[in-house]
Amino acid sequence: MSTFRKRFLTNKTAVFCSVLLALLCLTAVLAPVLAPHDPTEMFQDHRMEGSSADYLLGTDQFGRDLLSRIIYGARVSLVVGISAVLVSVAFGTLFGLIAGYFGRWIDGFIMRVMDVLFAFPEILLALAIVAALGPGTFNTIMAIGIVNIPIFTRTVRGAVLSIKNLEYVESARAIGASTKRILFLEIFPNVTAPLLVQSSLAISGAILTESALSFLGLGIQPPDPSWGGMISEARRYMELAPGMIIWPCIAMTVTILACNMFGDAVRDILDPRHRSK
Amino acid sequence: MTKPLLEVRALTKHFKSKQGFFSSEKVVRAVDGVNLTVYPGETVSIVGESGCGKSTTGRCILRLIEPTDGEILFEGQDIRKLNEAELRRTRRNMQLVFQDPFASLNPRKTISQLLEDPLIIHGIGTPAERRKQVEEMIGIVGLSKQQLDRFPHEFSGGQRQRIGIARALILRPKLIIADEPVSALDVSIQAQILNLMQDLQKEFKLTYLFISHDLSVVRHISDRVAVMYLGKVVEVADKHSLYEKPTHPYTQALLSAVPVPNPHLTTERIILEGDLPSPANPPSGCTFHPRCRHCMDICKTVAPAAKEVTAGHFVSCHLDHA
Repeated sequence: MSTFRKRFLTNKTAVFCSVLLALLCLTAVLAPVLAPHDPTEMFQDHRMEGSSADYLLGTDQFGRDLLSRIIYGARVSLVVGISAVLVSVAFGTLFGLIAGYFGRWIDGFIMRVMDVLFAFPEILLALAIVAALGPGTFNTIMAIGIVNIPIFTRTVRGAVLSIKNLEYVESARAIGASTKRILFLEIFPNVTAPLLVQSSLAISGAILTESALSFLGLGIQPPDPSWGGMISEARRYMELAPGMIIWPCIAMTVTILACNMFGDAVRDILDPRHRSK
Repeated sequence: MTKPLLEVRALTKHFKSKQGFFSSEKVVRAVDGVNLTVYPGETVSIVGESGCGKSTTGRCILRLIEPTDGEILFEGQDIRKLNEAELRRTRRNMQLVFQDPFASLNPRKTISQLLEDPLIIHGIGTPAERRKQVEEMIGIVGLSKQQLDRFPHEFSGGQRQRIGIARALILRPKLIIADEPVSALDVSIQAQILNLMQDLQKEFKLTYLFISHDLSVVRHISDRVAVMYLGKVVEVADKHSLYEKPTHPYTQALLSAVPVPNPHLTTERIILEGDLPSPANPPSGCTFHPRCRHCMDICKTVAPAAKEVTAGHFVSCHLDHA
């Protein structure tokens, strides 16, 4: 593990992105402290203003402070992104372990169900689930989480298939370990590397999907601030107040880029053969 | 005579393989009616070239591979009739040492975790007692307890094999099945590990079933030797009788291939013609007949039964060995 730490610290992209992500997380956690205004408070006299000392990034059509809304929006994006991926990781790992280890018809059944889920475009499936469950933060998390389960199932299943025939798994069986023990204590620790990479890549996807759902009005419900929702609202006032659409877009771009680059860097670190020049 | 610790009767393992959707199912007779008896405290070796089913036999005895047919009596109890939970309890008494010390230790676990696992699984002792046993065991196999918190990749092959042996030994089993435990190691390390195994055998009154393709290693460690060819045991005898008077033509050929460390001694080398036939399509009669120098008509049609040529020396061959 110490070689991992060393390689991580010498990888500039990894360090840069993790600092960026840490700052983002900090912003989200400290939102009440950092935000200059209440994100839902409307300053009726200051609608659609540009940058000023009071409203650093300007205000929206109701006179709400954009900076405060973006800061609180980071909270929503990260919470939804991370929780959704946790849901996918939990179920995906379980299904992947079971499918990969037991094989035969169990594998066939699980993987065919996953193939069906995979066949739908991500947004369409998320839309359908949200439409069925109703909008709201929790339902958005579940919808995005369910959509991402197949990727994790495949990732874990693939790793399990290569690991389950190794001698140390047989050695555990020879010692008398139960199947549960073999799955979770022998095999699972060895699939964490691909899981970590997949997770960091999936978080950016989840944030993007959340924004798309909010943009379409099915994700986070107003007046709660979310980047997707802000962009959606700003559409109509784009010419009058370009800041309304630019700032949330920049916030989203930076976040997603950081997540993706972090994932790529971690993959390179964990698998030197994969390293791009 | 003492009661055998392990008695294997007509052990059979057929793997079914199906190549294409339309092709008929092929049956690979990996182990085809193996009989073997192991008495407490002795070392029985199974030798044979790769693909003859010796590793499969070892794994079938532990039911790591489910046998197709036959009886495996361990202390008079048929292993094949045990349910899952009983089987796990019985595995305490029969352990496996693996060939590849690089693959048989989980890379994510420290040595102390690896050694403690068997104790946890079988619910032995408190954490403090387990720690004591782990420390004791690591000393027994010749490593120090300062090394307990390291990971397997920090050790050499020989050290890892010591860890593998410690892991098998910590449950104080009666039988250890060693599947080519030294063939992945350097020759100098091989001797160390073999000597360690012999010392441990005396100390813990172990019984070994030693699987190997290396005839000089087998000669060093065994009391009795079983020679396997294409899923069948063709000859069983005590070491001296087998090495001095090999009876089966296959055994003779194998032994003549062992290099003799004396340049002035010329031995007649028996070269086996042809390749090892596929166990999916074994020859009729005696499976060795296409490669045998003494092949007779009867060999092509009738499979020979085991007969006792001298006391304790069994051979499956139609030749008259009297």
